[in-house]
Amino acid sequence: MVSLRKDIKINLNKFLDFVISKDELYINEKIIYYIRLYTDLVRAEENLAGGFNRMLNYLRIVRNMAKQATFREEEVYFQRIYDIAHEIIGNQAKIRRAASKLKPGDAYSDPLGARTRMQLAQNICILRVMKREVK
Amino acid sequence: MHRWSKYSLTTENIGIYEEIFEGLHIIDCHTHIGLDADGYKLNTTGLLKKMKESGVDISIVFALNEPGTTKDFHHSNDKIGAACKQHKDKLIPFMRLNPHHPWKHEFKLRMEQGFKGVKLHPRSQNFKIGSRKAMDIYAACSDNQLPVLIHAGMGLENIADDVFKMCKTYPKLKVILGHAAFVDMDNVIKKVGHKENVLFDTSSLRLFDLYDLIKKLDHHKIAFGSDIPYYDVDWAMQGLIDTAIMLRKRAHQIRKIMGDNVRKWFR
Repeated sequence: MVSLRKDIKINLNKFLDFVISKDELYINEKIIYYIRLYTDLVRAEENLAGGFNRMLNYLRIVRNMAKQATFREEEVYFQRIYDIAHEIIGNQAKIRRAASKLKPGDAYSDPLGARTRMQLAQNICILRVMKREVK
Repeated sequence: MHRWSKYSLTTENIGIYEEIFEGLHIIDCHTHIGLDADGYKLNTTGLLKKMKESGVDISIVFALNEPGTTKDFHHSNDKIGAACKQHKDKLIPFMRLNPHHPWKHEFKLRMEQGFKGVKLHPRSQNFKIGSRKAMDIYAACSDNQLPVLIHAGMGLENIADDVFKMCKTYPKLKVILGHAAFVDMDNVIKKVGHKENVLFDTSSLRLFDLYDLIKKLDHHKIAFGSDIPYYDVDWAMQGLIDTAIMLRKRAHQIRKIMGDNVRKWFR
């Protein structure tokens, strides 16, 4: 009986390896990484008006995640996302001044182009998810 | 071949990039040079470099909201004129005007200098798209067959009625709606999406908005724009083409969006 269970387990593992190939697993991990980045970028954008410090916190998370990403073939994309987050964090004093005039929840103002930059980073994440190729 | 085009959305798309880019003449209908009040800047060399890197053949170019010049934009328009004179085959100049300031002299001067259109920014110059002062500028543009590119993005909302009023009053006026009027896209498409002289530019759009635009609007009504220096030309192009492919647009349709739709206005 024990031996039969072991056999089933071994075969199940082989089956899973067959159904979810290493490539597929890798792609899935990459997609999840981009979705995490995307989610934090959306949260950052939502906080531009009325929650500036929270926005900065989310952008710091994004910046760290982009820096720590290990998907080598995605380096150029993570670098671009890193640069965007870094640029906004670096310009925080000016953007904060401009954003302080906004009403909380204002989704259409773009102080110093910060919203457009965050949306560009979001678009990069979505595009990479859409493409999902393995190198 | 473009830097990014080696990637495919799916294996089924292999070959479509080649078909799209074969002899393609790309026109970016939304670019800026100069310095903006918010700190963004780009000079002519920088723009031309980006165009070359991304394979853009021609850009419609206009001034940013340059501090100290926005009253009449005379100084900024001078810079645009000089840049375009030097790169006639690459840059199409649009003049910026301020409806709140006497603009007729500036308009006439730039017309004589060969400017090909007008850029208006309702948020920066604080006017409504349907205001009387703006309508006077549309009238002058319509009479002189100059296209108007009007900012219809961030900072605005509920613009459909005003856009409709503009198009209805001046049916021959050629209009490019900057940022595809994404702030009120559904209503604007319903009201003017069928009009022959209206184009929606794709600059600085979120992919979801781009998806909606391409899905809901005929491909003849869409024109590629990047909004550089606020946005990257490469990413703008890649986002547009891949979203169009995802929506099963064919290569010849995408080619129209990338340049043909706007080029017919400048022949």
